[in-house]
Amino acid sequence: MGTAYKELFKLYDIIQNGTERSLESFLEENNIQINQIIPCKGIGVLHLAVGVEPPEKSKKCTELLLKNGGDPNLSNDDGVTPVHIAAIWGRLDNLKLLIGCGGDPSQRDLDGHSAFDYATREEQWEVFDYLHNVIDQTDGSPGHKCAYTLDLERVLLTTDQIVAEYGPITDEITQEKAPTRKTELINEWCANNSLAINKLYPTIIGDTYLIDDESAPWKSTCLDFTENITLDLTKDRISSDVNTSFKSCISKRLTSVEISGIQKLQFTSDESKSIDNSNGLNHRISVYENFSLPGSPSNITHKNYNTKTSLKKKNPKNTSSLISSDFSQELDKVLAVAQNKTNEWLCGKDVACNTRRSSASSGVSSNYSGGSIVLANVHEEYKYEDREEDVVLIEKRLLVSPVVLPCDDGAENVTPDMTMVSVASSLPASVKYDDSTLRKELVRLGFTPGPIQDTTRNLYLKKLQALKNGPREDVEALSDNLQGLNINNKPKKTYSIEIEKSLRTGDWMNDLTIHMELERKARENFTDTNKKWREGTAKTSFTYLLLDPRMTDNLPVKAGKQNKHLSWVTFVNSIFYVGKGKRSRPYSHLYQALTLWKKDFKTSKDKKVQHILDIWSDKVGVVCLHIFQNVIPAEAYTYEAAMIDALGLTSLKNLKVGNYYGVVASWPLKERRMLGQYLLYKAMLIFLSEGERQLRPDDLD
Amino acid sequence: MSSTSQKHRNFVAEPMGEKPVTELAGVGEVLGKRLEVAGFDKAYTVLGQFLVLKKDKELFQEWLKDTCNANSKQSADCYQCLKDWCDEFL
Repeated sequence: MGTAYKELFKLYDIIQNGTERSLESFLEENNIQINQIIPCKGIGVLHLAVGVEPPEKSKKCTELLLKNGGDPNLSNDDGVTPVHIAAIWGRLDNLKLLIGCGGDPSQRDLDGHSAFDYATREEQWEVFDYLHNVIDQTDGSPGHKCAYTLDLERVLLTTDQIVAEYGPITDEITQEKAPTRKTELINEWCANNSLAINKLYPTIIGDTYLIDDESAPWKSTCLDFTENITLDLTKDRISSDVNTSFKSCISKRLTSVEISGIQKLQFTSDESKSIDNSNGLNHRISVYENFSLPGSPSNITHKNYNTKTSLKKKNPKNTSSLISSDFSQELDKVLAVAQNKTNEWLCGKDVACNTRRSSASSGVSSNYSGGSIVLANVHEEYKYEDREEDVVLIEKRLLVSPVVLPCDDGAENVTPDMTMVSVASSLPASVKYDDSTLRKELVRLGFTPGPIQDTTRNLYLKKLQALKNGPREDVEALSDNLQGLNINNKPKKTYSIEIEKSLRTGDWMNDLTIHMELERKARENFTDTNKKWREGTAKTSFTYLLLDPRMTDNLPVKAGKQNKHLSWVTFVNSIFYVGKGKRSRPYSHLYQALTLWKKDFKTSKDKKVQHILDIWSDKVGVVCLHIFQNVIPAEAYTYEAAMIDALGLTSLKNLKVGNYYGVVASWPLKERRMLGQYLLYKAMLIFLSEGERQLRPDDLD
Repeated sequence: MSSTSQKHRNFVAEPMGEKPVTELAGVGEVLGKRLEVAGFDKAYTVLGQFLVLKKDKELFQEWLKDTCNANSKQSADCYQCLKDWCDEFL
C-alpha cells in the first residue's frame, strides 16, 4: 500500500512538473492504480491533470490518464470529480474527453454543485454551452440556430456490374438525345440522373425513380424524365418551384389518393392489386413528394404547421373512405414517411440561417411485377460539418428502393456485360426449397441428411423447421433464411412483455387501433400550448434511435422481400439507444464518440459511446434514425421514455429511463409501453421507407 | 432387449428375403395395407427407406407416421426391428 502511494506521489510530481513524454513512459513502465485519492493532496492524479498549467500539457496528460483507465467520476473527499475541475477551469477539451469517457456532468459534489453550476459561477460560457448542447439538459441556448452544414459529397450508383460515382458539379452539361444502345441508355440514364442532382444543387431532389417498363415504352419514359428535370433545373436554379413530374403507369388502378397541402406537397398513392397480394408481390405503392423551395424562407414558419395538420386531417378521412382495410396499413406507412419527410423539410426551412441544402424526394415502391429489369442501388454521401464543434461526419444514405432500370426481354441482342438481372431471381425464397439448398441449410444447422428424394423431402423440411425452432409458428418461418437465424442465435436481449409478445408473432400488426388511439391521445395533449411545458413550446425537438448496422444489414432494402414480422424482429434487436435531440445539432449525440475517436480511444466507460466506437471500428457507420420531427421538447422526452420503457433499459445502452410529461405520465405502465411499441412500429415504417443512413467519421474508409 | 415381441425376434432371427411388410414388428394388417398402397409391399422396401434415412430414428418414425399413420409405439417397434436386423445382417 505504502509503495503504491509512493509511486502515485511520483506520478503526481511528474504531472505537475514533468513533460508529457515522461508521463507517458512512467505510465508504461509502472502499473499503478491511478484511481485513488492521494492523501495530503486531497485529489487524484486525474484531477490534477485536468487542471494543470499550461492547458496544452493538461490536455495531453488528461488524455494519457484516461487511456490508462482514469475514472472521470472519481470524487475526492469533497465530492469533486475531474469533470467539476474541467468545468471550473474552463478546460473544454478536457471536459469533452471526460464526458466522452463516461464522466457525468450532473453529478454533484458535497456542496451540491454540479458541473453546470460551476460553469455558470466561473462564467465559463463555452463550457456551459457545450454541456447544454451535448448533454441536452435544458434548452437554454438562445435561438435555435443551425450549427451545421450538410452538403452532398457524392452519389454512388451500384448495379451488379457497374459502380458509378458522381460528385456534385456546378457547370452545365448539355443534354443529348437518347442513344439507342441499351448499355449506353443505361449509362446515359445514370448520367442524367446524377446530372439532375448536381444541377439541382443546392436543391437536391430526385433520389429514386421507378419506371414501369410493362406499360410504357422505356425510351420515351426516359426522355420524358430527363426533359422534365432539365427544364425545371434551368429555370429554377435560384428560386420558385421545382415541379418534377413522375410518371408511373400502372395497369390496374384501384384507388388514388391525393393530398395537396398548402406547400404544394403532392402526395399520391397508387395501388395495383392483383390476385395474390397476400404476399405483397404484386402490390405497389408509390409516393412522390414535390417540394417547393421558395427563395425567401421568411414567411414559411406559420404555414408549415398548417401543412402538417392538413396532412394529418386528411389522412384518416381518406383511408377510411377509399381504401379497404387491407391497404390502410401500407398507406399508414406511406403517410408516416410523407409526414416525416415533411417535418424534416419544415425543420430545415423555417430557420433563416440554416444551411441544410437537401430536401430529397422519396420514392417508396415495393413492386416485383416480374419482367426483366436492372436494379441499381443508389447511395448518397453527405458531409455533415459543424465548424464550431469541429465535427465532420459522413452520412451515407442507402436509398430504400433501388433504381429500377428497365429493359425489354431479349428483343435486342444483349451484350454479356449488361446481362439483366431479373428481379424474379431475387424474389424471396419460397416455402419450397430445392434439394441442394435444403441440404445446405440442414448441414449448416449441424444435421447431415441422407439422400433427399421425393419420399424423404418432406421429412427433411419438417426436420429443418424443427431445427430452426424459432419463436415464429407460421409456416413462413421456414422461408426465413440465415438472417432470422442470426437473430435467434444472438445472446438474447430481454424486452418488456409487450415487445416480447410482439416478437413472437406478427399478428398484432394487423390490428393497431388500440395503439393508434393511445398515440392520438398523447399527441393531442401536447398540442395544448397554454400549458407550461418543460423547455417551452418551441417545436425544436425530435426523437432518435441509434441502430447497429451490423444487425440491420440494410434492412430497408430487404424488407420488401421478407415478411414484415421478421423486419420487426431485426429492427427491434438492432436498436441500441433511444434519445431526444434538437434540430440545431441533429447529430450532437455522436460528438462525444467522435471526440474520442479522433484521439484514437477505443474504449469508453460510457456504454453508448463504447458501442458507437465498436461500430466505427468495424468500418461501418452508426445508423441514426430521426423520428417524430418538430415536436416540443416535452413530447420528445415522453416519446423517448415510452420507447425506452417498451424496449427495457437493460436491452439498451441508455443510462436511465426517460421522463413522461402531460397526460401520458398518468397512464399505467402497460399503456405507456404500448405507446412505445407503436412508436417503434412507426419508426420502423419510417426507417424502411427512408432507407438507412449511416454516420461515420470522415477518416473511416 | 428382454421386452421385445415374438414377432421382433422372429424377424431379427434370419435374413428377410422376400418377407412381406407385415412381418415387421409394429406393422400389422392395417398398417401393412396402407404401406402396400404406398408401394412398400416388401419388408426390404421399408428397409430401403430406413437406410436412405440413414437409420435416423426420429426421421424414420416420422416417415412411418406420414406414410401409414403409425402411432409412436408401432413406429418405434418397427424402427427397433429394422435396427436390430441391420446390426445382425448388414
